[in-house]
Amino acid sequence: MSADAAATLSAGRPLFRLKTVPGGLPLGAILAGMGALAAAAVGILHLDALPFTVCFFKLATGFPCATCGTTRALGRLFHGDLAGALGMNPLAAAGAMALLPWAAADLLLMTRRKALGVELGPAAARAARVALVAAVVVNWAYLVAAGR
Amino acid sequence: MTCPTCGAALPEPHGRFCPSCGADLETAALESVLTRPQARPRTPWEDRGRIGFVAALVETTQRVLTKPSDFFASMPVVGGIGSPLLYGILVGTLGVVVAALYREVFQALVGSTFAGLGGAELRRVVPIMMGGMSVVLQFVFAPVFVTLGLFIVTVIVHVFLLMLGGARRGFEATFRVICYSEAAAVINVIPLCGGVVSGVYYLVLGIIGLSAAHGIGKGTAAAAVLLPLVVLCCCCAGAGLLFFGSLASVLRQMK
Repeated sequence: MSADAAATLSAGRPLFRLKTVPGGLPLGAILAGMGALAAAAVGILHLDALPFTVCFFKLATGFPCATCGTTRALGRLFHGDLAGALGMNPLAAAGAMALLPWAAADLLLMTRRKALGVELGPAAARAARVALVAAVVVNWAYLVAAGR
Repeated sequence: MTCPTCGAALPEPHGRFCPSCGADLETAALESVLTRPQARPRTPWEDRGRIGFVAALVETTQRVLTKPSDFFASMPVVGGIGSPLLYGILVGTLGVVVAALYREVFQALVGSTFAGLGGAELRRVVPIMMGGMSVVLQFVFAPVFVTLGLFIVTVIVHVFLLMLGGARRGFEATFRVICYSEAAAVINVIPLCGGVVSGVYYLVLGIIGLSAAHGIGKGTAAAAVLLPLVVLCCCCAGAGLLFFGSLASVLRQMK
């Protein structure tokens, strides 16, 4: 029997399913590793305390781009300041935190040469797409309002 | 026999529905056949064990630059990220090194590329950012920066593909396109205009590649590649600063 976890409606196909993929790409572990490296670089080199912006969009328009505050969020995560990170760029901080359980699952599965995979049903994929767009827009509005 | 939807082992004889996930086995089997990707030949780079390292590198770069539609249409979208990543690092590093060398020469002739932008704080750090030590650091850390860049760009583009409903294949398909599009970095060897041409052609290759790899329209692929440039800028801030800084510097010299 499969060890996959599935969430289903009362009948029909699953909304989404977490599955183990033999020989799959341990994407969660790779991205979390990259994020950890980036956070360490920002924290150690104090790249979040530069006295000028490196955002061309902000230089040109005066408004923050949708990823402004990510470097500062990584710097705060490096120092364990989760609230500060969420304040700097909520979506980037939440995304970075979401990578942790994904990476942990990948690392556990890696010993069995497997990786964690997610399969979305059509309805769930549509809902996820709408949620993603909404999250980016709301996050950007917050960054503009907060003057990041 | 296993369920085409969830992969669970099925009892023999099995009914119409999978006891594990409840999928209709007759429909699932048909869909599995219809949606199974057709086998694609390996790229020359992924066949370098047979044709040789240098020949594979040259042939892959030539094919990406001259026949991108054919290359990406025949590129496998699975098979591991190691080979495409190595290709991206090698060619991307070459581009970074060549661009840094030209920038030094250009700076010596017309002044700092950052001189026309930013406030007093930015102008204070320009000598540090653009000094000789910076060039050495760029050479040493170029493979690291290129590796990070490939993953960051892939994540951003794939998220936009997801939002636009164009991510029909997985993350690996996008990653492979981004890595092989690094072939455009070779154009950096052309003095002066090489950097700009390389940047534009990189975007073109990305659009063609994503369209072919994910089986989506060029409009969706173009939106996934170009929208991040407008909405986000963390990945293009450096290039933008460099380009517009150079322009500002040249214009100031011409006055």
